[in-house]
Order: sequence, then C-alpha cells, then structure tokens
Amino acid sequence: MKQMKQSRRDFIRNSGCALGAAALVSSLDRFGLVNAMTPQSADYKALVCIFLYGGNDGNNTVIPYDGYAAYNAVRGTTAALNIPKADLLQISPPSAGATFGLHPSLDELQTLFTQGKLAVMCNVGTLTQPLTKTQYQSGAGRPESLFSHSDQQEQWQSSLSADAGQTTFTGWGGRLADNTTSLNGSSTFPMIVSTAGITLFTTGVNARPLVPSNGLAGFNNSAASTARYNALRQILTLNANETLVHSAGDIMASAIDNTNTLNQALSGSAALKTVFPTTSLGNQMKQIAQTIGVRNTLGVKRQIFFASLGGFDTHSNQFGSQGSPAVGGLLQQVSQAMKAFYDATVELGVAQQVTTFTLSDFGRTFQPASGGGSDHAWGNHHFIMGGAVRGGDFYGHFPTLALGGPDDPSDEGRWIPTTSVDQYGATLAQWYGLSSASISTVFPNIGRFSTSDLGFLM
Amino acid sequence: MKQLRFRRLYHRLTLCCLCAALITSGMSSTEAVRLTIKPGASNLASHARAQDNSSSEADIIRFLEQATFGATEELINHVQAIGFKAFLEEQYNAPISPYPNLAPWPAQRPETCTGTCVRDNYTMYPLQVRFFSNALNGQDQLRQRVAFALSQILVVSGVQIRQPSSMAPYLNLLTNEAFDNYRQILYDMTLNPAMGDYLDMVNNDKANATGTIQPNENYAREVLQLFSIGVNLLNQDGTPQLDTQGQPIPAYTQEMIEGFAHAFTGWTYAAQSGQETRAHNPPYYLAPMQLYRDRRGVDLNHDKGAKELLSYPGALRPTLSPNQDGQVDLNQAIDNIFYHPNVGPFISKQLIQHLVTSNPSPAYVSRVAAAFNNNGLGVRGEMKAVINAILFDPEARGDLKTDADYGHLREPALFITNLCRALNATSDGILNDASRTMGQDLFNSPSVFNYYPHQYTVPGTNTQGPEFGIESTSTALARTNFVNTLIFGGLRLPAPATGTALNLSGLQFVAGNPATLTSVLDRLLLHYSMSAAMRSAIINAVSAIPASQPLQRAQTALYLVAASPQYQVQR
Repeated sequence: MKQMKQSRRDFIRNSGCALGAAALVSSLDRFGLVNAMTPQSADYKALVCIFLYGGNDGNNTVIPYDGYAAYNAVRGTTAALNIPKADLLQISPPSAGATFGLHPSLDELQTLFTQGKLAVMCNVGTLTQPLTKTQYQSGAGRPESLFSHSDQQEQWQSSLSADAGQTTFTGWGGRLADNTTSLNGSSTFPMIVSTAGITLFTTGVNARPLVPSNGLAGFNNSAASTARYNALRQILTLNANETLVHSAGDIMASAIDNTNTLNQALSGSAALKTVFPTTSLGNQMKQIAQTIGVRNTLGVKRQIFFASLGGFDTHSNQFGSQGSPAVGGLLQQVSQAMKAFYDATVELGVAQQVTTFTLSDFGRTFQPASGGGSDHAWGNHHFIMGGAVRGGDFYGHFPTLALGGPDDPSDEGRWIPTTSVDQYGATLAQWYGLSSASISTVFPNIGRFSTSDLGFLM
Repeated sequence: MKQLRFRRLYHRLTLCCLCAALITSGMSSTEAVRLTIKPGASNLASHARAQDNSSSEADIIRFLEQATFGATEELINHVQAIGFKAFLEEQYNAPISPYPNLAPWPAQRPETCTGTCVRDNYTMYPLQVRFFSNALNGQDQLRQRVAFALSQILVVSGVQIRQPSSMAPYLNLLTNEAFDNYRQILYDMTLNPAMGDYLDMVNNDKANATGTIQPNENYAREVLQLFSIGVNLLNQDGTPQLDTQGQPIPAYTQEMIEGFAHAFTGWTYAAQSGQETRAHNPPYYLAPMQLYRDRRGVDLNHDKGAKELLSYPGALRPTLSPNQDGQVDLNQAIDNIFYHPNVGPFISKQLIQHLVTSNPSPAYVSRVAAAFNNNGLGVRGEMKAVINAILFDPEARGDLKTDADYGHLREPALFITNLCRALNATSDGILNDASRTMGQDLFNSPSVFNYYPHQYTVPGTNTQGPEFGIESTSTALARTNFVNTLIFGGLRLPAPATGTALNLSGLQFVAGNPATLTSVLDRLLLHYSMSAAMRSAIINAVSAIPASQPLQRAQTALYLVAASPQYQVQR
C-alpha cells in the first residue's frame, strides 16, 4: 500500500530543517523530536514479556526436591495436589544449596536451566515496601486489593502497588519505551509490539503497541481508489476536539501505517528454520521471532514484546489445566514455546541480546482448595531466559513451605514476596539500556527497596 | 440456515430520505416543489412536523441507537409517530426473543462428533447466530440490549463453559429478567449452573474435618467485586469515597470474602428426574442449582459456622448466625449484598456506559442511582426505573452533543448491527467471526472481567472508554476491513450459509448528486452531525467516480462514513 500523503510528523520535521541547530533542537523539543537528533544505539536488545493470566501456581512449578517432605505435608493430603517426587525434573541451583525440581511438563526449561540460559526469580510479587510477616500483621503498608485478578494484573504491569488510589494509566513496559526512544534514533516504528492485544504493560505516556495484522485491505492504484484512500486519511484527522473520536482516528492512522511497514519488512525476509509448536503461545513467539528477524529493515535497536497465555486461574482441577504428572497442560505449552523461541534467537544470532521473562497475577495458596485447585495468593516464582541471563541458578529467597510459617501471614500459604515487581522490572530495564537517571521515572517506587539490580543479567 | 429478510419500504423511504436531505442541504424551492408531487410526499410533510416537535429526528435516531441495536427507517417513523414513552412501553411488552433450548451432549465429546457437530454442540456458535438474528430482526430490541449489557457485568464465558446447551439458560435468564428486579437477577444468577460452574459456586463444600481444604472463594469474590458493589466504597454519584488521607476506602475485606464463601457452601447441580440425589450431582445446566440435603433433609455440605458479611450503615445481617439452613444463609447473604449503598451507583454507571456514554457526569449517575434506590414507589432495584432514568435523562437526550468527552466507541457487535440495520441488510446471522476479529468473540469473554474493564481509560487522555480496551491496531483495521468487505460485494460464506449483504439501492438512487448522497448518509449514520470538512472530503472522493457508476459512488460514500472514527464513536 503506497503512502499517498506525508505524515504530519514528517512534515513538521522537514519544515524545521531551515533553522539553526540550537533553535532547531529547542523547536523540535516542543514536538518531542529531540531524540531524532541523537544517534541510534550500536547494539540491539529486546525484552520479551510473557504474561500468564490467572495466577500461575508457582508452588507446583518450582518444588523442593531435597525439601520435598515439607511440600508433601500440605499438598500431599487428601486433596492430592502434589506432584510425585519421582516425576520432578531435578535442578541444582548453587545459591539455594539444595536440589529442586521443576514441574514434569517443563522438560525444555530444565534443559535451558542446566545450560545456564534460564534462571528462576523466587518469591517475587507486588509490594509497596519491603515487608516481613510481623510488619504485615501489625498493619504496615501493603498493596491494594491483594488477591484481586484485575488489580494485581495492573500492579504487575505497572509496578505501582503503593499509594492506594494512585491512578494507573501506564505500564512499566510503556514507560520504559517512553524513556529509551533515543536508543532507536530516528526510527518512528513503535518500540512495543504485542501479540496479545493492548494491555496496561504496553501503554506508556506516548508509547502505544503495534498489534500486528494483515493490514488495510480494499485499495488499489486506480484514481477512484486513491481518492477514497485520501479521503479516509483526511477524515481520520477530523473532529479532533472530540476525545473519543480523536483517539479512534489516531489508532486507525497508526494502524494503517505501522502495520504496513512491518508487513513489507516481513514479506521481504527469509523464513525461520526453527520449528515452533502450533499452540497459542507458540504462534505468538514465532511472530515475535520473525519480527526480531527484520529489526534492521525496521531500523530499530530496541524492541519490547508482549505475549500472553491464559487459563492459569486454577481454583479447581489444577492438574487438568496447569498440567499433571501425566498430562502436558499449560506449562508444557509454555516450556515448548519458550524453548523454540530461544532456538530462534540462536538462529538469528541474537541469543545474548534477547531476554524473555514471565509475569503473572499472583501465586496460589500452598494449601489446596476444594475441587483439586488452589486459591489466589501472592509471591510467586518466575523464569528469565536468554543468552545474557546468569542462568542455572535461583535469585531472591525461596519461601519456607509452612502454613502460617515465617513467610505466610495467613493460614493458607500466601507468601509475602521477598522481591518486588519494581526490582524485577528494574533489573530487566537496566540491562535493556535504561539509564540510572531514568530508573525512578519508569519505576517510581524503586527507592523503597534495597537494590534495583538483582544481578540475574550479565 | 433460513435467511432473514427485513421489511423494505425503501421506495417510499428513500424518497423520504431524499426529500429530507434536500431540505437540509438547501436545494432550490423549485426542485423541492417538483419532488413533493412524487409518491411518498406525505412523509415529507410529517418530517417537517417532526422538526417542530420536541423530539427532533436527530434525537430520535440517537435514542434508537441507545435503546436498540440500530436505528431503521421503520423505527424512526414509528417513534416519530408515537413518541419515546409509548415506544418504551411497547418495548417493555414486546414478546421475548429467546435463546434456543439445546440438548446437552456428553462432557467428553464422542469421537463420532466432528465438523458441524462440534460447531453446533461444543462451541457458542448457535448462540452467536441467534444473538445476531435477534439483534437484527427481533422486536424486543431494548430487552436484548439490556440483557447484552448485563452479560458483560455478570459474565460467564464459553471459554470455560464449553457447550452452548449449558450457556443458553444463563442467557435466557438475563433476557427474561432484564426488566425485572436486580435482586432477583443476583439471586437467580447465584444459582445458575453455568455461573456455578464458571466461578466454582457449584459443589463448593464446607471445610473438611481437618480444615486443610477450605471453601472456594471464587464466586464470593467476584459477586462483590464485579456483580454488585465493586472494590471501593462509592458516593451515590459513582465517584469513590475518600478517607481523611484522600485515599479510596475498600468496600470489603478478605474476611468478608471468606464469610460469603462459607455462606455459599453446599449447593450442587439439580438432580435430574429419575436420578437419585447425591452430594455432588452430575453436571446439569437446565435447572437452577439445588442445596444438597440428605435423606433427613439436612444440608450436610453447608457450613454451619457464623459468617462475617458486608458491614455498612443499616446493613442487613452483617453477620450470619451459626446453624442456619443453607437456603436461609443464601437469601440473607444476597440481601446483605443487595442493600449495600454501592449497588445503585456501581450498576447504574455501567449500564449508562453500555447504552449511552462512557463518561457520564456524576450528576447523571446519581440521578440513575436514585432511580435504582427507589423507583418512586418504594421499590429498590427495579430495572425499568433504571432504564427509563438512563434514556430520558437530559444527558442522554438532545440533537447533538458538544461535550468533548461524550459518547462511547461502538463495541464490535453493536457496530455491526447498527450498520446492518441502517442499511436494511439481509443476513443469516453468522457475524461472530467478524466480531471476533474486532476483539469481541461473543459469549467467549477472555475472563470474568469481560472483553474490556469498565474503568478502562483511553491512553493519552483522562477519559474512560471501556470499548477502547479492545481497540488495538489490529482490531481497528478489522473494523475498516469489515466495512470494506460488507460494502464492496457483501460478506460471503460457503454454502449452506448465505452471509450478509447490505441494501444499497436507496443510496444508489441518490448517487447522481454527491452532495445529496452525503447528506443522506449524514442523516442515516451520523444524525446530522457531519462536519463541513468531512462532507467535502466525501464529496470529493465520490466525484472522482463517474455519475454513470452509481453503485461505486454509493459504496465509496458509505465506506467513508462507516469506517470513519466519527461513526465508530456513537455520540
């Protein structure tokens, strides 16, 4: 689809060229185009977020092997939510000083862990401040609406758990994009690409995600078609004083242009050799890999991707959903898709430049709920994968698996996180290239925690 | 699939449109006089009368977009003749368009069931087709609109409830009770088996002897958070109450959720006739859930402790006494929820958002909440009172809204039906694939939080716009591409489906004059709100096509209006 009109931004940039350099910078600054003057980053990096919607049960994802008895004491009761010890895929993280086991569906992740390309972030979750059990019970500050799906998803995606009532319009992925646009130089292609629709994570003050598709249909090079296209483009800019109309028009215009740019780049590129599973997550990871494959055509040096998988809210029949010792389930889908994606980054020669990480609403109660499932909880275990990961190890603190124990302010086994979402995100963001000066812009509450770099990335 | 046809009065009506358009575009009186002697001239005179009435045609069209699945020429004339109030009375009494009662199939799909058998018995397909058929053709437009809105507040999703036979009773519940009382809706929804399955209300037993398995909290949490009061205490105008530090105040605690979870224990699927009652009856979706009772009539699976419920000034039963029957606990628990002051503003605001505008003023919300709280005869929760308050409010009525934040993005299903109804479409009702590519797969909400959260704020603004929660670059293009398909050749499907096609003959009739064509569309789709700049853009594009190609001209003009953000947003 050929562009019939100059975009407004092109027009503005071109018209500024006649001015002197200093005046140019200050006048362009009004349009947010100062970044256009700085050169692109020399290297390429990408962050890939996989959000597991519903609250993945970390207690059955990363399980103590040496310490199995404590796990089995609660999960191996009549409720029988336990994974048999013999089925665990053993891993030996040096920091933990003990052997653990991954859920039996996670074969591929076990391999990556052993190869040093995968790390486990233990007991990470939403926090307004570091919190011990005693502090929690004495009423110290805690995140709003714990155990509520929508609120916790928002807090994981925004990193904002403090200041109850703080209106959350942006996510940390979006704010990260806002504050690293200079690394992409003059490219106007959206930094964020989402294969899972629009989310808070992908929304910044200015950043908006591109959700790929086949693009605008129904036009050709005839005079009539061209006239219709021009009229459409013009109409998209009208009634700009009407808020919702203006937003709809903007979304449509950027959809037409950016989708076209991406599709042209993809159609001119060679197919990947890596085979991806044809699952929901597999298809998304394939699309992301293909997009990384055309990064040079797109002219980008930094990209943030968002993918997701749902179905993790296992209040009942958890084995049927997450995966039992015998049946693959959702965790199998995650494991296979992540491994295929890693292989694709190797094929593309960017394995050390792409870091993939998981998020989820919350963990689940250590104590089973009636129906063969578990209820909403808090701190959870997550995976970080890539060639730049200091893999094969655990980070953070693995909770004591005891109901009402030192990590559990309840009686159902809801671990108070020992690492916050802010810290997790800030570690990823700094590797990505976020400057120290900008960390608190992207993670406003990072100052409440002891460190902004957890050390799991090289 | 039987093809559905609409009554077409377009010979009379297109001339009426033409006459009306000529009047608004200020054609010379000579030509206007010439046209009055053609058939259909009497409509011209009544149109002129309507302009003098308090209900102008623009407001009628706006009203129909709020109260139905889209304005049609027939309905515009009808409402013009009888007025809003009489029309609503007709709607309240119109025969109900039901969802089909389907035969249940085995939970484990038989190997012999493949292809269309799967489609018809293990997907939401038959219900999706019925939705669009009812929306495009049913008489009970308002009922279907309200039921559709309620289905996005009290959500059950086919993503988990696999069979349409299980979902149909849930949809019929909302359809049948859309004009009744919200307390009844809450109670019946609590015992609906599809909801029970979806949110683990069914077979949710009291704690086991050692207390290692606790009652499931899923339904308890969502009935409060989503179906009744929301997360924070609200003022009657829908704004959050704030404490002395300026922070919102939670409406319930974790302890209260556990209280409700215990209160809701002991219910199972209805026993089917001839079947022995068990503690956990096999899944059965065609009758309300029942409280399990042993042979002595004791509700053995119901928790007998005291339960902490919602506490608020004047609260009914902030605590349930111990040792009550499960049925008593359920009734008292529903009352405890229903009388919470949050319910009025929480539910009213969302209904306003679904029907009229995403950003009602707090004053509008409080007027509607007041109607919820008391219908004028001392009854709380009467749906008709709420609906009347929403539609007759001055913030809903008027020819043209100038407030910058007014209106709402038409959700995909409404966008499709509005366009089809305005253009007298012929359709077999198979339109969910189109809706799905636009982000709304009917009855398959991704979660209990609906396709989009009701608090969703449009990025880059301070304005709420729930439907923007699914308006991505991909779904926005899907809308435009759907318009392209529908207009240039129609939505064609493999036999035996017949697809959907618009009737463009009326537009072709006036395509000889690009200005007239544009005016006709201004009235039909934008209730006369089209800007001069948009008008000239369309006229230019139409004029690029020779007058000898009226179809292409009609298609071009229609495409530009239907795809426009001005039409995407209903104001």
